[in-house]
Amino acid sequence: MHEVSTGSRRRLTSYKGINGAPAFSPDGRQMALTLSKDGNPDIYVMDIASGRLNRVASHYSIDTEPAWMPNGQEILFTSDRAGKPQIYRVSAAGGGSVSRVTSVGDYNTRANVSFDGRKIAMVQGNKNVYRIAVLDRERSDTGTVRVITSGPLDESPSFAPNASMVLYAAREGNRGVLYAASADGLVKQKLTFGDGDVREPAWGPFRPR
Amino acid sequence: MNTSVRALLIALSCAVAVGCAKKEEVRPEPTPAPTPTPTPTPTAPAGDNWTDVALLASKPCLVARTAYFDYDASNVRSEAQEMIRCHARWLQNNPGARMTLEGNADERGSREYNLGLGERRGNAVRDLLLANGASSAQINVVSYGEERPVCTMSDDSCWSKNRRTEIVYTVKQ
Repeated sequence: MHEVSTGSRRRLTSYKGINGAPAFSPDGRQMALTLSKDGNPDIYVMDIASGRLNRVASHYSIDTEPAWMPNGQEILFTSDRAGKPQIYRVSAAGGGSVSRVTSVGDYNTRANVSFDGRKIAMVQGNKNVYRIAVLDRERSDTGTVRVITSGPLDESPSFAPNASMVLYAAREGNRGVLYAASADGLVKQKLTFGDGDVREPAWGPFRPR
Repeated sequence: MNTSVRALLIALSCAVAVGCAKKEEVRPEPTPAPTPTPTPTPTAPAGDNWTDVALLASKPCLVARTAYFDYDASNVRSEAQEMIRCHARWLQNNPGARMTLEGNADERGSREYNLGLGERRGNAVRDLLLANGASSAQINVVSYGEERPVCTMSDDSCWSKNRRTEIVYTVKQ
């Protein structure tokens, strides 16, 4: 963990296997993460002050890519427990039942939730094309899915703080490049800033409180 | 880290050995009549001696060290099974041997999921090794996800080369 204000760093986990996919809770006190120390990737929530770990999703399949719902009570994550990777929801306190969020297609991963919890951006794929889709739960709980990018290798969607835009990484040649699309998919724009490889973009958290 | 420490220890023990040998030479004892140094025995052709380390570089099923996987799958294909059983036999005959299994995925989809997929591909090879006589202390599994492609074009032929588990011996014998 890197403390931006002080520049100090400390290591939060160093378990055998995967230590990955860290995600701060909305209040900044907890971190959801993926650990495979028990043999396969599971979702944990760590209390940052004490370092105490609580496993909230466990299955012999791959459970990874936790994303907090804005209320801090629930976590979305990717799991292939049903054979293909899909997005599921579980209580951040653990112990609750796991419910499936996505229902269409063979590959829905890496959820990112808008500030109001109404929209979920994800990577939706088949064997050939991987695009960003937005599940809009505004009108119904099952929601409507809209694909907002054209692929073929789009990844890492991240909602703007006002939920109007989604940043994502696309592949051009052998490079990752940064794009922004409107949440309704009508506008798409490449953001260039010289050479280099773009991966895993995220909106900065620095907004006026 | 471990290997460099080990290398250092080996280097040190060599230095000590050389030191001792020199001391021995200084001793004013009658040296035995110099016998003609025997010509070094030629290394035996790698036959079925499963502790001869030359076997690792000569026997086809031990030279092969990569298992490939289908899309979004981690079951070991039938064509890789004989190769893996061969390495299991090596591990069984050489209890000091150690290996790291490096699991990898192709670039499609999300990075963290691919990290999990790479680990599962490493575990699949590990499980087959264990079922065929290797011991768990001999095997370490690490996943690189999609971060270490051997082929960088975005097409089927490259993707199929990148979905793999590589066997890397850290101690051969």
